[in-house]
Amino acid sequence: MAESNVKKTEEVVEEHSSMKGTIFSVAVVGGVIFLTYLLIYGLYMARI
Amino acid sequence: MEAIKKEYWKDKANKALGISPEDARITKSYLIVAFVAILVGGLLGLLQGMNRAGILELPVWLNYYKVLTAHGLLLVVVLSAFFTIGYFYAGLSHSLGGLLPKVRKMAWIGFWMKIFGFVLAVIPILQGDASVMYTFYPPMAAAPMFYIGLVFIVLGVWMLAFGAFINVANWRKNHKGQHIPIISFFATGVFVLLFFGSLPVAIEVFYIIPWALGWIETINVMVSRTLFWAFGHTLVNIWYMTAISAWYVFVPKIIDGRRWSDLLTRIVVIALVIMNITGGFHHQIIDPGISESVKYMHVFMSLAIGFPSLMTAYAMFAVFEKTARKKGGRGLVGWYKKLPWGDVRFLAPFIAMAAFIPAGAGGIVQSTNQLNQVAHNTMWVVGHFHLTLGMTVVMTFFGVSYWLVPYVSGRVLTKEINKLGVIQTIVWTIGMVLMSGAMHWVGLLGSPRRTSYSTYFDNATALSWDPYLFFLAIGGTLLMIGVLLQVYAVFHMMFLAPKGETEFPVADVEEDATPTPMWTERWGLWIVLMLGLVSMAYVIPLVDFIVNAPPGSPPFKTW
Amino acid sequence: MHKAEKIWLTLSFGMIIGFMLITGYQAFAKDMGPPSYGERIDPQKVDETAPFDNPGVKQIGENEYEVVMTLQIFSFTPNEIEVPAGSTVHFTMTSKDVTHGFQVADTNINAMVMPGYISKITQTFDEPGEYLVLCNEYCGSGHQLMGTTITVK
Repeated sequence: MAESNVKKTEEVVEEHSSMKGTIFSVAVVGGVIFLTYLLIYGLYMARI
Repeated sequence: MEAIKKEYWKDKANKALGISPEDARITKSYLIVAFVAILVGGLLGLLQGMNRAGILELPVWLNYYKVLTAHGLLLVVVLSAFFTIGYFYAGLSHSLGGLLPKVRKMAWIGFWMKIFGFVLAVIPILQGDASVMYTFYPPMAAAPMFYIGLVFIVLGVWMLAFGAFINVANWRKNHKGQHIPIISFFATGVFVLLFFGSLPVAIEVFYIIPWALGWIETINVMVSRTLFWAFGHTLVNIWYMTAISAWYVFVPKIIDGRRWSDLLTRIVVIALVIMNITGGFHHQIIDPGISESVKYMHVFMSLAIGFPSLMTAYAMFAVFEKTARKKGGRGLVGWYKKLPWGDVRFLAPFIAMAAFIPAGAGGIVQSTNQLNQVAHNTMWVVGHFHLTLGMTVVMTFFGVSYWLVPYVSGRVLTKEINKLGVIQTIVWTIGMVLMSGAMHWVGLLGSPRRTSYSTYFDNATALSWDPYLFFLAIGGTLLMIGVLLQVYAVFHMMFLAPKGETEFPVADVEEDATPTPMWTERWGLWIVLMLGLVSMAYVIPLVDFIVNAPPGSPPFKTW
Repeated sequence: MHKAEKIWLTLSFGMIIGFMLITGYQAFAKDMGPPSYGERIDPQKVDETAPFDNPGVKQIGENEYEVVMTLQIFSFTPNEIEVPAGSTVHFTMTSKDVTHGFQVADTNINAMVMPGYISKITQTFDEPGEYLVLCNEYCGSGHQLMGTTITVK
């Protein structure tokens, strides 16, 4: 019982300072840049 | 010692009592002009959208190109510049302990010079003597009055830039060893860019005037075009920098969070100041007469501006996540729920930031050297700058207005106006997404920008664009509704809302933040570096255009 | 600076450098760079200057054509071009008045055509069809009428 409580607090602390949401969000930004590039580059190559 | 004490007291008094009525009047006047400009400019935009959709044929006296020139000038030159100045002057006043009387005077002189210049420029546009667009590429020649008006606008801008420099320099003298407050740091960067960025266009206009008057016969078109873009793209980045100043300085406070690392924030400002002006060249990627290696170097310089924006993307998400997690936010994306979505002062700038993700991505790709051939001068570009300016910048301005207008008016933001603001934000978002999405797509199919409705003699390709162009009318209509809501909200907050105190919401840095080193304050060095980069970028092509110039072009009036 | 931020900046900016390297390779090794030809011409004497004194379509090789073209408000000379499918067409252009843009929908042809400068751009037309040619730089009141076609048979 006590042990699981400790674990819970640790989890909360971890959540508290976690940066995983930021990393996920910037990954989305990177993905959008990459997909936009693929679209325009693909169109460019298709029209050569 | 006495003086320092007095200054310090003034800072405190200012923070406690809010903005002085004289300083407030300056910002209010600039904001009124900005929002009147969006009202008129928005209406003109709606007319174009209707025309482009093939719904509305404009009468001869209200020609499409006349409307487009006025729309561009009102939104690109008036709205954005007046908002930027009003906003930063409030920031200078707040953070530096009030504007100096001399600076206040300069702000008014600048204001009237800009208004006078704008009236001079608009008269020939309305008369149909200046349908040259906001880029006014020679050898198209407008009536000389149009260019004289531009001169006054530029002089007005310089007046305000120097006013800001004087106020900041005075504060620095009295606060040795201290950092310029962050909002004034942004303001300094913006006014440095406004001054140096408008120098090239001033030179351009300076030699267009005698040519438009017929005193000299011909003009060098490539030099004019290059000088224009050295200014044109800098202007774009000035508004962008204004928008991100609100993201870094005010948005964290509105969500009850702390500011991002002061050092990294200042580095973003410095990087944007140093690298901005050279970015203009990517408007000339498919121009003749510039060697491929010069173009390639320029594309690299243009894309380098993306670096501080990538830093900003990380900074914003980090501030949001940190704040949301402190409030008990959980999960990979679940913490987003803890952000104040019902507060227009957060919602509008957040959507503005989100819009910059595709807008920035599109910008990067379309300026990647030959890929520019896919997008150049098509509707894609129009879609791009409606995402960047119409959403990223303008929505941030809207979000700011919900605390800046009450702040300078001594009033408060009511629940009702906040609700109106949220509705406005949603209407604007849907309108812009529909319009700019359709513009991007139809541009890739080949539809050109700056062209009134045309089927090109019933060409099948041109006819296939029609369904997409229809969205311009739908989006434009929604945006007009958004303009009306926004302008109502601004005037309500300025004159009708209940009186009270509104905070100037500058966020604090983290409690455990490390102090920022003093080298960030070396503005002389940043300007030298900027000028170095500008020379690296522009000396070779400009010298080539002048030394190896073809015979010049006489003026043409082709409308 | 946080480690995650450093990784993000390295990866994202690295990606942009990657885009640059690909286009740079294509531009300099494969000759696919943006139209940059730089020869000068007197914009007031276009009609008397070769090759623009004789604009038109010329066959210069098997499946290879040169189109010498002038752009002026609000038309292209020559108008209505016809070439067989599979031909490579080299366009040599200049403007007789203001700045124009030469764009062909569904191709990569997109070049500024300015007074005083000669622009060149090349495209291979593999697919038969009627291609829409238009001016994409605002050039005056009839700008929306400045269009023609290239027919590929």
